[in-house]
Amino acid sequence: MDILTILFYLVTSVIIISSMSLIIVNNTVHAALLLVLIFFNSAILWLMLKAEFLSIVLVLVYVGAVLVLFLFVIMLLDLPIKEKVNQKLYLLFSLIISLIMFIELYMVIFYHDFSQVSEISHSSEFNNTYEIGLLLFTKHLFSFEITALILLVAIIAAIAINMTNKQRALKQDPARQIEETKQSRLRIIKDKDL
Amino acid sequence: MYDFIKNNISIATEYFNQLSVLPHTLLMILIIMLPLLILVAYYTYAERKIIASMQVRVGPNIVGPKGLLQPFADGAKLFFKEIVIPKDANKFLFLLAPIITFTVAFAAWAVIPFDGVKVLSDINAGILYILAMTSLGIYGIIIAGWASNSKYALLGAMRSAALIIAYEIAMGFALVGVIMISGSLNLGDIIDVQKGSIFHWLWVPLFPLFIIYFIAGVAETNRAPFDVAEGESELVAGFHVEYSGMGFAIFFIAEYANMILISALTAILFFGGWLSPFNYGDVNNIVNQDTVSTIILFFIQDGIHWFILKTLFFMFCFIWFRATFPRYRYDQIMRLGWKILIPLTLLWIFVEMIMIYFNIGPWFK
Repeated sequence: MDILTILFYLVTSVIIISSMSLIIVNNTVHAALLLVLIFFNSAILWLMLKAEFLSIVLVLVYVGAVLVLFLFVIMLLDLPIKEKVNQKLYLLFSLIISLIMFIELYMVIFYHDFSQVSEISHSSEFNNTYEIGLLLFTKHLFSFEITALILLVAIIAAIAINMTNKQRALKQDPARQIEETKQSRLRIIKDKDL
Repeated sequence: MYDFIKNNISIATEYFNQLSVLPHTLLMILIIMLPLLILVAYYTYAERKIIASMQVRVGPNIVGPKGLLQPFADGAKLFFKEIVIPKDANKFLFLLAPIITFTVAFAAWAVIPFDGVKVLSDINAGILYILAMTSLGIYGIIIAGWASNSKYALLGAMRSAALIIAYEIAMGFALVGVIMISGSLNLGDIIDVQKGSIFHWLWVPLFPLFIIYFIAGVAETNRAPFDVAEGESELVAGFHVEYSGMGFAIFFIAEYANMILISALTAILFFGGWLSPFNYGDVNNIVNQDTVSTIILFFIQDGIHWFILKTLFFMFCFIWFRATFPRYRYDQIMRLGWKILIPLTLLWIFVEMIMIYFNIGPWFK
């Protein structure tokens, strides 16, 4: 056991414990923060697999942007902390789902020949980012462009959903704001005019 | 039994060998952290003095000669103050928030190259690491706002979150421009691309991106004119309104450390980091070397002093902006971020693409 192995067990145990408490805790904000912890530790795991680009992008995208928006919404909604729920139905469904997942994982792990997977060994000169970029724009160009298109559609859809009736929406028009002059906004009234 | 002990001893020595780099790294961290903390202390002093002089006042001048001990007096005052935890606040998160902000503000310094060789961790994805670390700083603010159980704090945190998300996109695109020229995510390589003279630095071809990067940097650190998260006239003090004593002090230190970080990054990405602005040629060939010319030659060569000078200039700009501009209204900030800065960066990336494709200018080889 070297230091990396100890670090691996530390990180994975943090991931497992926080995943379990993520399901157990009642407070939604705590759950979201636990998810942050899980993502962060997964990033460390990827870093140990020498995938530094992917791990930093995981922190940047999921922790830095997606979960911030999650927290943003959760905090603004002011959700009540759930006291007691009917757990029997949940138990049934969770048992079924976990059974399916267990069988899947079992098949993946025990029917797959891991001996063929080569040891990851690069020199320090190996540029992870460069290789990923090369693959994305040559071999996987089509799927890359499809992903971009899907994201674009999602953005347009989000904007379209939020476009409300113009009369209801209060907004300021900067073009009209800067057209205002002293004469149009200010009227000096002398005492004798009153 | 003997084998068992022998095995254990060999394992122990192996650990020791692996751990022996630890003291060295810790020492390096200390060498970076301590000057930074002192710089933060005197940055607050400089801010008060400079703003005072811009507003024709004297500024702090009582504690120590010319008020030079003022930051330590403030620190001592905050250190001995009682830490008040508001009623019904989430105690754990309330205390965790300043720690997160502080850690993240200083973690980003790990990849900053101070010199051709002086860098704590020379990683390939340095610029991404910095972007990731600065984007984590928002957690401290959001958690502080929520855990305080105060409406002012929550409103400040929400404003700050929206602001940082909006300006981080513009900042990221400005960085894309830098990466396109340098072809590397390593900060050392980015500086190497800018070798030459002052006109080889990236601020010339990327002038709009440099302006946008610095504006986004000011917004990311929640400084004036983008300080709606604190907004004294509206929210008292924003997300850290409930913090007293050391909690407040740590937020304060983290904010100033972030300002220094943004200044250092601007110096590295657009102003050539440690590179000298003069094209001085090969100075070692000069035969006639007296003391004065040696000193002058030392100063015009590349070195950490240029990096510090450039960083200090941008740090001054932060203070200058605070003394000059009134606070933006909230919707104006959002309009500037989403509708002006982001389209501008996209446009300039396109222009840069054409310049790289047709090899225009001395910067695109």
